[in-house]
Amino acid sequence: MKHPHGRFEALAGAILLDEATAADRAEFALHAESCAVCREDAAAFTTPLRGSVEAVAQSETWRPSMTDEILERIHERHTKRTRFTITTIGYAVVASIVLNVAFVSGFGGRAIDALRITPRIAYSATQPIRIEHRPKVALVVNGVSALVGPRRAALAAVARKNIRPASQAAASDDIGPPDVFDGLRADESGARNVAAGYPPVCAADLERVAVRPEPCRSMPAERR
Amino acid sequence: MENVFVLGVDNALEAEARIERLVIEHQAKLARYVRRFVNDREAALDLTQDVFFAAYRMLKADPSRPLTAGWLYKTATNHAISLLRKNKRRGPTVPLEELGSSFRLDERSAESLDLQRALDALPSEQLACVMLTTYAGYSSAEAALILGSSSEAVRQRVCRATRTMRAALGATA
Ligand SMILES: [Zn+2]
Repeated sequence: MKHPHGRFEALAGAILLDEATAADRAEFALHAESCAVCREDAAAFTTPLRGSVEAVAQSETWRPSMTDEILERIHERHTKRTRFTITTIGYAVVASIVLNVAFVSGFGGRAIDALRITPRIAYSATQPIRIEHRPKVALVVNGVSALVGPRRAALAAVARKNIRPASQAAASDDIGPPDVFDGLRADESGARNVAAGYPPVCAADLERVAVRPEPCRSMPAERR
Repeated sequence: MENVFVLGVDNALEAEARIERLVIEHQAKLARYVRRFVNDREAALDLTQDVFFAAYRMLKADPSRPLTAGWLYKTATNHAISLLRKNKRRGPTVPLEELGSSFRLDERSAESLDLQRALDALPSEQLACVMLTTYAGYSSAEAALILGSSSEAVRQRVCRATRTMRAALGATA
């Protein structure tokens, strides 16, 4: 909500600033007859505000000068910017030269090749662990495949020794690798618990175990 | 790329030339204007320098941009008012003798001191209206543009400021 007296304050301000028209002055004078506050304001009209402030300003002798400081500040900023730009360009040039030399001399290529080498995972800092890819072997015992735990390992060991066809055994010792099942022994305590859940195996069962080699899907098929 | 660089250098040089002219033309009056707000010569000089530097940055970005004294006063007023708000107040009203110490000896005219004391009593918005319309010589409409206000509001503030100043001067007398 607007202050009801605001209009006359604005008129008084206009008169003080010497911006009021004759109509404005007449309107204010009419109001001031019945308003003590505005009558007091009207008393100040005799010495216009603008004139008195200007008179004081004329008497001021402070002549602040900052041209040199400002120009110096601007130049300082220029210098800083130029230095920054030159430094950045310099770093970029040096980096491109280093990269060029590295690739021309072959160092860069060797460095990239080095990144491609199969990692040797050191065991206990001295024992390298060799990670090899072997074909999978599927077990079928009495028509039931995928036995788990030590029982499976035992079955496989017997199968490798006795049941594998002679032709395959002669062709390659790599088929049916012994360490395929080694991992299963890693958690021996767990394995024992699992094994305890199976009934004991009799020799007759073992005799019926057959091993059927199955090519690994991720390895190329053997050429004949 | 080269053109951009040359353009940047051209802009900087043109901005520098324009700012030098602006500084020479307006520095004294603008610094005195600012000092009415901050009531401290060094602070007024720093603030005025900041205003010119802001103008330089703007001109460097766009040297063809028109930059008037009104822009300088507007920026100076905003800087001064935000400084006042930051300091919460312009400092306590000090006795005349102490107030005089911030002026040079030859400025210690009774009118100057009285006026400064009266201006000290004003809230910053009223002070801005009074200073822009009386000291800087703008009309209430121009001051309204600078302050982002209306002409009527500026006139009202001038009227209220006059009352406050009258009271302050009456108390001094
Ligand atoms: Zn009234």
